[in-house]
Order: sequence, then C-alpha cells, then structure tokens
Amino acid sequence: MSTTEDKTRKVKLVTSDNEEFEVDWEVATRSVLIKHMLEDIGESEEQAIPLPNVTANVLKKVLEWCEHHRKDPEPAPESSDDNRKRTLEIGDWDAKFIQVDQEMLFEIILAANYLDIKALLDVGCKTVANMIKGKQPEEIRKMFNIVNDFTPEEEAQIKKENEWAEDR
Amino acid sequence: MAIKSELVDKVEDLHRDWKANDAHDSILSENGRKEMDFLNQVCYNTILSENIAAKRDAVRGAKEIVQSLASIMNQMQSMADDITAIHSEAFQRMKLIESMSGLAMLPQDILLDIFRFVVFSTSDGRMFDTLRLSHVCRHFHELVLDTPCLWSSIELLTRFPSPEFVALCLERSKESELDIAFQCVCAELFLYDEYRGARHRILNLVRYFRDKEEKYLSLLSRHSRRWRSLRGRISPKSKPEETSAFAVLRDIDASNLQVLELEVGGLHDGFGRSMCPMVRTANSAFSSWRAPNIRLLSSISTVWIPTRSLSNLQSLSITLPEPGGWDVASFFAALSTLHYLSSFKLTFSSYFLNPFQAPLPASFPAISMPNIREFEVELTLVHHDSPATERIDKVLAWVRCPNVQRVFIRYDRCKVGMASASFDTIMSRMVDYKFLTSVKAIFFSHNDQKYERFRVNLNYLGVIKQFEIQTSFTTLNLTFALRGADRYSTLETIQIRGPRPWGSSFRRTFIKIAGEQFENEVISLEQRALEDIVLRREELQKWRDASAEEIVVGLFREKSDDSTRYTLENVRVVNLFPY
Repeated sequence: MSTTEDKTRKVKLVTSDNEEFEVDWEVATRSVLIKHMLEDIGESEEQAIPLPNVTANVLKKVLEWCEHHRKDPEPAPESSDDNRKRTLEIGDWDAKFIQVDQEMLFEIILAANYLDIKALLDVGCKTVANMIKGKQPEEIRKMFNIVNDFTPEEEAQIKKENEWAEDR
Repeated sequence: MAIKSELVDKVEDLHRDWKANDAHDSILSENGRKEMDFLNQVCYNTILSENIAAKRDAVRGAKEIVQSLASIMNQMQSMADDITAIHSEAFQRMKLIESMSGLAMLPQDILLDIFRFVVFSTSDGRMFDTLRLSHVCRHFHELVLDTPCLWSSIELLTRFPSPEFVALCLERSKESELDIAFQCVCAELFLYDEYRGARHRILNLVRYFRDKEEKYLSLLSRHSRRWRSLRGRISPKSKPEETSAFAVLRDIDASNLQVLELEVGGLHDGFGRSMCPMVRTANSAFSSWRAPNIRLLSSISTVWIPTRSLSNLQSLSITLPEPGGWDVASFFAALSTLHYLSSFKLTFSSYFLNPFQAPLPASFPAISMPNIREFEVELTLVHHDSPATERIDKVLAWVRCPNVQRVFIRYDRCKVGMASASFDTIMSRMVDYKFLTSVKAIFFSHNDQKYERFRVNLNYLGVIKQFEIQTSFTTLNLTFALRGADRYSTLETIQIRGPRPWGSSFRRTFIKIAGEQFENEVISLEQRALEDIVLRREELQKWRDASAEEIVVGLFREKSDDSTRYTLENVRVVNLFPY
C-alpha cells in the first residue's frame, strides 16, 4: 500500500547505456520489478536503480506508458478460465502509443517483461497477435522476416495436415 | 634343472661330433635329423611348454582388447560425426534465427503468450489458427506442439475439416481439458407433422456437419472425460428417418464437464417427446450421461433436464417456445430439486415453432425456488394478441423466487402495449421480495416504435436500490410513479439508457429528462415533490450537444439536519451505445 509520502517521492533509474531518469514513485512502481527493488533498498532515496537490460530510448517509451497509466488499478490475477478467453482489443491511447517500428515493438515487449509490467506486456503481445491473426504462414514469415526451415519431409507432412484441415 | 643341463650337454656333444666329422656344411644324416627333431621336441615340451599356454592366452586377450578398442574408436568416430552434424545444423539454425526479426528472438513464454492471444481471441476456428502457427517455422512448430492447450478447442461450427484433422487435434491436445463446439445444420429443414402426415419444407440450408457427424461424434466421445465445455446446436433432420449418429453419445462419462450449452432443434416438447427421430435419439443419448459437475447449463428449444447429472448446477438458462405444450409442472418440479441453482434465466420466444397445443392446467401450485438470487426473463416476439401471452403470464405467476436479489427483464420485439402491461404485472408480484435490490429492464424494438404512455410504478419496490431501463423506442414518455416516497427510501439510482444503435437514425435521438426540476442538470427535489418524473427523450438534446452519450440520473437520499431530501445529481456521461 502506497503512502502519501511515497507519491511525492522521486526515483532514479539508470539504463544500460548509463542514462539516468528521475521519475515519480507512482510512475516507476508500475513496474513490479522496480517496486520490489525500492522495497529492498528502503528509504535510501539517493540510490539509483540500475536497469542493465533496458536502453535509454526504450525506457523513455516505457515511462511514457507508465506516466499515462499511473492511476490505473492493479491488474487482477488471471484465473485459469480467463486463459482461454482473450480479447485483442487495445485502448485508443495504447493503440496510438504502440504504433512503432517492429524493432522498438519487440524492445518494449522485452522491457515490459523484464520490468514486470503486465498491462504493457499485454499491449505489446496483443499488437503482435493482431499482426499475426488471420494470416497464412507465408504472410507471417514475410512480415517478420522468418525463414522457412522445414525439411522436405516436414513440408510433405504440412501439406497433408492442410489437406485434412480443408473444409470439404 | 638336471634334465635341462643333461639335454644341453647332449646337444653340445652332437654339435661337436657334427663339427668333428667336418660335416657342418653337409646334410644331416637321417638319424641325426631324427635325433635333432626328437631333441627339439623334448626341449619344447620340457623347457617352454609351461609358459607358452599362458603367453598364448595373454596374446589372445591382448588381441581381444585391441579389437574392442577398435570398435570403441569406431563408435566414437561415429558419435563425433553425429556431433559435428548436429553442431552444423544448430549453427545453421542459429544463423537463420539471427537473420530473423525480433519475433523469433522473443523468450518462449512471451511468444507463447502471443500465440494464446492469437488462438483464444476467437470463438470459431481456434484449431485452424493453431495449425497456421505451427506451419510458420520449426521453432514455432516445436513450441505449438509442446503446448497442448492450444489444440484443445475443437470447433465445428462453420468449417468442417476431415475427421483426420479432428483426430490430430485431439492427439496433440494430450491430456488438456477440451472445449468443444459443434453444430449440425441440415441440408433441408422440413416441418414434419406426424399428426397430419405431411412434410413442409421450410428452409434450405447448406449441408455441412451431417456428412461427417458420426465420425466427429465418435472421435469426441472417446475423449469425453476431458470435456470441460460442450456447446452444440442440433437441427432436426430434414427427413423423418432414423439416424444413428447420436447413438455414439449414449452412456457418456463426462465427469469433468462444467459448461453445457445445447440447442436442439424444434418440433419437440422436451423430455424426449420429440416428433423428430434424430432429436429423440439425441435427447435420449444426453439423458444417459454421467456429468455430475455441470455448473452452467444453457438449453435452447428444449426443456431437457437430466436431473441425475445436475446436482451441482449453479446457473440455468432455458429458451423455449411459448409454453403451449410442454410439461410445465414436471419442469418446475425438476428445477426445485436443484439445491445449488442460484441463477435462472427463462426465455420465451415465438421464434421457435411449437406445434403442440396441449393446454396449460387452469391452476397450478406456485413453485418456490428459494435459492435463486438472480432471475432473468426474456420475451422475444411475443405479441399482445397471441394466446401465448396469457400462458406466459400464468407460468411466470407460478415461479416464485422469494430471495431473489437481481431481476433482469427483457422484451425483444414484443408489442409495446404487451411489454408494458407484462412488465407491470411481473414487478407487482415482487412486492414481498425482501432482498430485491436491483431491477434492469430492456425494451427493444427494431422498428421506430413510439410509445408515449409507458408508466413504471415503483411503489412495489420496497427495498430496491438500483433501477435501470434501456429502450429503443424513438419516442418515449416514461413516467415513474413515485407516490408514497417512504416506500422506496432505499432507492439510490435510476439509470436510463438510450437505444441500441440499430439504425443510424438512433444516433441522433436521446432520452431527455423534462420538468422544471431539471434545471442546471443537477436536480434537487423536495421529498413532497417526488410524484411523477416524466422523461422525454427529445428534451435531452442539449446534453447530447454537450457530448453526453448517456445520462445516468442518480436519485440519492441526502440527510440534512431538518429533513430528508432527495437529490438528483451526479449526472455522469458514459457511453450511450453500449453495443
């Protein structure tokens, strides 16, 4: 539970390329990783939190998201039922936020995963899922520069499976 | 040793004699050769024989060791070749992955999360999405095959693959719980009237599932213990002939089944008394199931209640033809034995043909369902002049849910006069429901219906806190009769929602709250003024102009020092068009 003092507190974050960011406690603690680290170091405000897996340009983007969602409630834990019901809907602001090139998109996903920001990770995963959804394997390969490395025998099996899946 | 030196001496003597006779370069005499051979033999037997066997064994052992070493070296060489090949392949794959974009570089758990979003964000064709993912590259293929739940949704709704494909998905789903959905749509739907012996073709539908239904059902039934949810829509067979397809579903053990949604095509009155042989077979098969863990049952166009399987049922939704012939008494008697049932939805629809004309009993003792907390009634296409109206009214009068907390009533394309009268009748029966705190009503019409005398009497809502109405009427004068304010002192909110945007014209029309009380959008009413609140949609245009999309009027009880005041406040702006 955060206190009023926490909300006015500033947090220093240092990226892998040694850039320092000073942000509000409420913004920084959208990341569960940072929240736990802050709990570990206690009151020593001057101590900067090292983030060796995140570069400055990615952290800047992540913090932009955290700033916008600073007041959001904590996400509810997923039940096993929810696991089989998913939506690809993304809020308007998030959809605009995530309109970045593929490289940045994957960097944001990796950073959200590392920093343990579930809601941002979901936005990233949904965006990629939306790009994949309804596309044929060849289109997916082309979109993400994936090489078809199936052997001829495996290709034959794929062909057979596709024939089975046909609606006849 | 003595023998050895004697022999040596003898050999030396012979040698000397041989030299003395100057015969060293001549051929040995026959006797001399024999003697030499004899001596050789003696020497061998006496001097060397004691070691030679051991030495030979040692040599043999050494040879065997050398042979096995050679074999081991061959094996090691073979393994080294294999390692080189694997290393080479791994190197090639690593080069491939490195040449790809970040997608293939994502950690497996994230990639899998993306796959789950792709597959589980649809309700039809999940297995085809999974198949497509598995065909992108070997990395995806391995990941998808290692995740059985991605193969565990078997949906045969609009695409009907070969049974081999269904078998493949079942195999790849391993031990995962299965979510199954299927529909059997017949080629031609006939209305078969066995009383009149005539067949009337009423619909032509594309032939889909039926060609493979027996194979599908047979495959699925083998995995019945893994069923978690089953959604099935079965139309009656087009011709009145027997079909054995559903016989494979007899005596199913579905002990893990939690959700069952069934729509069994019309022409039957429930409890297996169907005119259609296929529906009879299906009903009979379903009734034989062992499925004690069903929590949620939704049944459309049948009142099939396999009570032996529903001891843990919590939520029941039944959609029926208007109650013209089915055994209402048995139906409600069966319901009253379901002790965990807390949510009950009853939908009557004239969509479903009901050729049964058995009359309802004139009187019937009320069935009390004390555990019901949520009660929902939906009437679809029931018209005021239909004899169904009277029968529905009777049935609803018999159902008593004294401990209900939330009531939801929906009128869908019913005549407005009928809806208004029916709503008032249903609500007035709830006067003594002591725990009823929330009522929601929807009046929906696909035509631009005008209804100017819609009156809601709130006097009976003794403990109600929330009241919500949603309507699609283009013109509506909604009058809340609030006389006797002390009767509804618990009332906290009245929410009026706008129409569903069926047509573009609705987007420009809004409910308005009219009256002198509504000045400045925050309305304060003295208790004595709480008589009639008349809502006129046309007058809300000014809120629409102020970007209001929904008007929620809160009627709050506000205590002050001298008197109890009611204020209408907290005008919230939210989405008027939730659909």
